Amino acid sequence: MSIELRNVSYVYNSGTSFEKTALRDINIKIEPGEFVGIIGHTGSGKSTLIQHFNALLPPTEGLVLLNGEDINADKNRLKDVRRRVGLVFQYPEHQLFEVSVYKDVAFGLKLMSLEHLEADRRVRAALSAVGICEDYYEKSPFELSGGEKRRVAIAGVLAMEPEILILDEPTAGLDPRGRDEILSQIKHMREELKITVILVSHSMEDVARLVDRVFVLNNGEIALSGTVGEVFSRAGELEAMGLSAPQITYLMKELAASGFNVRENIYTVEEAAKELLSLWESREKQGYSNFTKR
Amino acid sequence: MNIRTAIGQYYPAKSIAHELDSRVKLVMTITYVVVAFFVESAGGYCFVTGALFVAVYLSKVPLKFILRGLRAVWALLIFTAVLNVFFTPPIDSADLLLNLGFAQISESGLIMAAKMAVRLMLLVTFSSMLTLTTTPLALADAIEFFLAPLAKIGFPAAEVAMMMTIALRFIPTLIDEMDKIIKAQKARGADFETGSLMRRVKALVPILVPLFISAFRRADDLATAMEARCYRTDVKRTKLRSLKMTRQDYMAILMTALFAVCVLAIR
Repeated sequence: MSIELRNVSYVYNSGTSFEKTALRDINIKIEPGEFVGIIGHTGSGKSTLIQHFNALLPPTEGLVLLNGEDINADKNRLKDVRRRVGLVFQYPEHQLFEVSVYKDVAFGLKLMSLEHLEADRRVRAALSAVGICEDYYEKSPFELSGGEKRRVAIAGVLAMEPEILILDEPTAGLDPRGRDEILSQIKHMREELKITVILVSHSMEDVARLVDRVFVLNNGEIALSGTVGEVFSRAGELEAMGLSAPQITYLMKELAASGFNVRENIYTVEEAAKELLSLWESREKQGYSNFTKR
Repeated sequence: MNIRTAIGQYYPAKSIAHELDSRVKLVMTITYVVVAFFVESAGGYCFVTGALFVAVYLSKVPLKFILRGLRAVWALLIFTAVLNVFFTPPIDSADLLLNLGFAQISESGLIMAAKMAVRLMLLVTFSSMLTLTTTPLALADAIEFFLAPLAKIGFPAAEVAMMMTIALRFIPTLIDEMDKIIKAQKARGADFETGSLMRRVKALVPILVPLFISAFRRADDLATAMEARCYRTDVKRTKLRSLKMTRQDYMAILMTALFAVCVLAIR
């Protein structure tokens, strides 16, 4: 299922003295199965942008097309749109309210009047997709750890079986372990469920590691877009917008600049490790006994 | 959110009305409200309405915002008017216009209803002028000032003032929070707009539980932060922004007194 924003602009408090333009002429098209990242400085309009994808905010101007259909055309279909486009907000654990993990995940399904068996299957599938095992089903969501709460909250959206999943800063406020857990679950989930994923993040490392294509938002406009390599190779422009390339890119650039024979266009730690390892091996073959400069 | 634009949300602008000391504005509002109840004659009404328009003009708040406040109380206006029309007993038979059996409609009743409606409108509008031109915090400071003498008889004035300030401070925060929670629940299929009354009341649970949890969490954090900064109320606290009376403020008090005397003279 493809989703497209066509010439979308959004103005807050339109027509009052508090008027503020949050988005200006946005054009984005995301194909089925893509993994897309959206990065931008605080206040660049990321949160406003993603709320357009599931019609929580109707654009002031322009169209939001889901498979070519205007999602804001029919008010009665909004619920259907929100089921097909799952949006996980920042700090989703703040939306938990039920007495048990299981019930909380089933919340959205209860309102969909599904058959009991189907609902049960979906809850179990969603919870296993985020790596929550059966021992947790009857626990109160409030006694879980931060990372677990967040995964349960994500499962609440996954249970609707969306075709597009949008995650707003899924790792914000988590410790490194919770962060790794969430990210690997997202990766795993995408491969298993074959859904389109849109990841909003502050972390260039996360974006570089996971996504295929990146959109950079600045002052409500798309400033840059392209593959991870295309976007992160323009570190100067990113810095001007208060962003940066991944840290490992800077390290590799410095290594290259100080004479090591390594590629500069490296954006993840894994790639860098591979590159350094091959450098090491090639030198060993050439008879170098230790890892020094040329 | 329409909650934000309910009666008397602060409207930032640069005007004499905004600059006045919040204590003065509070006194002015109370004076106006009390005095408006003494008015009987048409001339008197014209005078107090005129004073209101002067205040509105000086505040530079667009009329649209002021009328919005009235929209919120129109039900109350109609209710009072209807009560007055039906339940004001006629003075004599000439006064009686229509006898419905259970109630009698009289000329004096109609006049009374009109008067009450106009009065209420004046009161609501003038009080909303206070909140439109005064930040909630400045207003809390003013209330604290007037409560301060009560501390002598053991009334916890400083604590009450702090509670008021905190409550006011957190209203926008909690509204934002609620906004977010509503959106998050909508994103996972919640429906707040359709269904029977019972269903809609039930639909509030997924909003209220997270909202309370977050409010408690914030309260806890705030208490810790206050403790860490050695907050205590048993000694006199100084203020970052202390209220200061200027010439403008004294002028305003003088005008208010003059206004009150005039109204009482005209009635």
